[in-house]
Amino acid sequence: MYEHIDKVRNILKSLSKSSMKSQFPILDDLLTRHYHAKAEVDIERALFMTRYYKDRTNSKKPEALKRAESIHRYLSNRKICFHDNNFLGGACTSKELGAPLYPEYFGITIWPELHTISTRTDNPQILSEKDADILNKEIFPYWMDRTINERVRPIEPERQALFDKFIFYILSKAGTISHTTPYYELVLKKGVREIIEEAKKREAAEEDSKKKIFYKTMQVAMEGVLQYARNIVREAKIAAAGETDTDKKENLLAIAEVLSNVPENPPRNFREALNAVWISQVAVLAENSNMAMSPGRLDQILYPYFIKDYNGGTLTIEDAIRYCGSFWLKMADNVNLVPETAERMFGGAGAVPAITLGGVDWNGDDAVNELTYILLKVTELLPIRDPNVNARYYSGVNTKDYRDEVSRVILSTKAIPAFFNDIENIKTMQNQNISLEDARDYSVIGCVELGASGKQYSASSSVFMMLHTVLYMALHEGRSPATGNKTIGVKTKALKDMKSYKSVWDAYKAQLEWLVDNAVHLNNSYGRKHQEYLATPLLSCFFDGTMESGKDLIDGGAIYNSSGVTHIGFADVADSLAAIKDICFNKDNDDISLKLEDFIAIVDADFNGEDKIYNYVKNIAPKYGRDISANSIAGKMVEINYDLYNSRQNYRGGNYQLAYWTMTNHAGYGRISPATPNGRKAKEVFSSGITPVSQVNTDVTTAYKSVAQLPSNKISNAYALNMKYTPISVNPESIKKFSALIEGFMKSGGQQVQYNIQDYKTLKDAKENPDKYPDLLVRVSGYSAYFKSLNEAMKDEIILRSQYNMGTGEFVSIEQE
Amino acid sequence: MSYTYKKSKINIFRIIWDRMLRKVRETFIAQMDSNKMDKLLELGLKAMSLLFLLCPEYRENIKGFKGKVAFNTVDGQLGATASFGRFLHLPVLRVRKTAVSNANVTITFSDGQAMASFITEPSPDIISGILDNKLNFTGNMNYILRFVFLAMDIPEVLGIRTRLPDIR
Repeated sequence: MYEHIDKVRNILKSLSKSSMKSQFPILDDLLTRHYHAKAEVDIERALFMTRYYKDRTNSKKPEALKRAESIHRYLSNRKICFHDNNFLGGACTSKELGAPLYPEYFGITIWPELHTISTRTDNPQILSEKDADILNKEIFPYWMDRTINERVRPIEPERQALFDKFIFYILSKAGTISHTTPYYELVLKKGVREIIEEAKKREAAEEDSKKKIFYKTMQVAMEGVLQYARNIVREAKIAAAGETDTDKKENLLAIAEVLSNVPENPPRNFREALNAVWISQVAVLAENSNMAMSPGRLDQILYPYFIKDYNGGTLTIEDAIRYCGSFWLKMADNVNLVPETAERMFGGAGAVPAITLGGVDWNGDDAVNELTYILLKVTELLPIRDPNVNARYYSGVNTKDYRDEVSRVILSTKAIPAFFNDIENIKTMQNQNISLEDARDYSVIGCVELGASGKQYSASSSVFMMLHTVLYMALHEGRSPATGNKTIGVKTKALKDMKSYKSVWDAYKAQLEWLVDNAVHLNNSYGRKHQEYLATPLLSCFFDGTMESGKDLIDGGAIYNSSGVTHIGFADVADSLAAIKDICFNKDNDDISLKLEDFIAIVDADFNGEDKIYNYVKNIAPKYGRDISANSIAGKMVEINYDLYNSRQNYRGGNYQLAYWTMTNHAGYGRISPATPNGRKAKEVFSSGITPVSQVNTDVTTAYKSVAQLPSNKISNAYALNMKYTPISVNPESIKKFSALIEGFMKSGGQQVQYNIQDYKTLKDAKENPDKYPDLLVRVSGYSAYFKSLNEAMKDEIILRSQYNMGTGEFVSIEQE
Repeated sequence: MSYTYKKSKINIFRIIWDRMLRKVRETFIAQMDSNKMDKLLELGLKAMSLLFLLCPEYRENIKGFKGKVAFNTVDGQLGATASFGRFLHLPVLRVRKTAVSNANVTITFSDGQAMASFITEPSPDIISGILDNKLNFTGNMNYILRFVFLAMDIPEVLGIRTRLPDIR
């Protein structure tokens, strides 16, 4: 097998970004179009859904069936577009770069911006006056009492009020049923027709009325998918008839030919398989918004089709790159619709559909194949924001060559893909009662989360917990910055009565438990409202277990039914607790010793006029990522989070799985948060993901080891560790060095790591002169973004991240450079 | 988009609009000059109500809309309600001088200044207001979003084009 891989790799070596234009002119053109495309709000789905539901306001039909019919109507009637020469048929929206509006979720939040969203400063999204008028007069008025938020509010007014404040927790169920990896392999193995037929048979044989309805909804929704494919075939033929360019005409006819077979039937070749996966993704997004709807292990599920065609001589490596490159650019054809404030706070994120490469198969054998390398090459040739590409690595099973190649691509693109450690990740999944075989077949969801491919409905971004708010409440008797003098959480001890570090920790734990309890209850209430109104017949078709159980995915039909929690402010809180322990409760501290109430008063005053204390806290006090005492606190924080969630169940009978990634939230929340005891002043950003706080003076090995020593068996949804290296030239020596560093981190127990190979100077220049760096791609916290599209806080955070010299491993401070 | 009395095709309406609006404007400015906030909200809502009455295009925005948006301050000193409904066949906005208890949504401002900023801001940002602890709400947030969309033209109608601190 490795000989075949080497043969393919030799061909791939001759393909480079600099020769894209000559070797892959269509991909080059598509890439240019992608970089220049302006996002447009797409209301097509919203209008179809609204009109469907309006016509059935008094209908007694089951809600699940209404949902299926509305999706069927949209898919069957939506506009068919061929925006460019992409080799694949189907598009997420009617726009070249569309921001689809889902009115049942958050779409309505742009109501105040209908006349300004096209011209706003931050990432404008174009909306025509005509569409704005339809939204204002037809779509939004219908949904204003029917959004999922407002359906939950009457049953959970107090917990919803906490959510509305934003600073305690946020729940993604208000905006989506997503963050999961569908089982697209099923469509490849069976084809949609067989799935429909199976559902039909089960419906006929089923006695349970709810299950009967579920099987019916599967058929109705999937028939919509087939009609959509048929419509593309029809329109492609019409477009081809009117096309004078021979290449374009041929491509349109090829699309028609491909979609005449898939997704209805199993694919006959690689191109059909790829298009079947893409149409499945489009279909799922007709039902659910795209927040990390992740296609999973493409190098595994597409491999049989690739190798058959390649060995049969009907597919060249170049062809495979063309088709896969087309898929990459199709994945980037949509962005999320975001209101202006959210854009200012959290802007720049893509939809983050994750693709997973490499690692081991369910049997534990090396899963890296020729297609893995081809997809790595595509990643290198097309360094775009979405899809989010992740490389799994199992030390001792995967080859060093593979690790080196992934390292080379990272150095070449300066950002992608991210590295995942199979050994730790498989173990932590097993710790969540996922079978060894299923854990080995994990794929990455969205930023960093892990899910058993097609078997686990992870909902992995269900809760974002704000740890900095927990700490603030612990130090202010349950008050929060958003509630002024009112105690909202547990009335824990006053500072003057906290006589030991343990009492601070106990207060932290009490407030955390209170917030976890509220967040879990509210998340479960959202889940139950989803069950009532937002059935997911289409997504359910793409999961193992739903057909057998006769249950929709949101009713617990998948084999594994977890929910995910991630945390904001992790490193800053760890450092804050360490600083409190050191300054207020360490008798051996001869430098600074303060009463807790005095220290917190200084913190609350933003260290104003207290330079000596500020400098001590900032530079000398123990820090996670450098000092054992702070690392130990970070470990205890992971433990306590795990213990608190582990005793709770979600609404589908599954568990809560924990992660530490932050997207851009750590920057946005930093901007609205008061100072923290670790020397972070008010409005300064928090550290990202699990990453130690920036600019802490330590060497790279210590930083890596500090993260790797965290109890990974209690971080079952993984974390985002951001590392930044001074750029170096890409050559065998630098690749070897970089690759060895990654191996070291993995061997010491690290789960995930991602890189920016950038220096302070370049990033500062990119902030000052965005036009000079139109395509500069950076890793944020689990995903990639175009630097220019990030908000100012996020740009500053990336600039400020600790930079290390790859050769020496030494920390390069921002002042030093 | 902006709506003005000039869009009213009938002359008599223009004259009535001119006079009523002038009175509202004068009172509004006088309130701000005297640093009294108690009537600002009511006057802003009255301007909105007049615009609905006299401008068919603006009125289209609330066709079929029934709902109440109440406003008050934490200390309970200031309050008003915008009640959207129908008069005969016309969609109208009725203004009440107090915050009613059965509103679809109640926005509570930290103080009169926060309320005044909200009224005079051409594009008030609810989320920022919440994050800055300037306002809070109970009830259906979507009613606020709709109200904000409707209110965007009011500062211009009142002759106020910039944020409150700048015009004072």
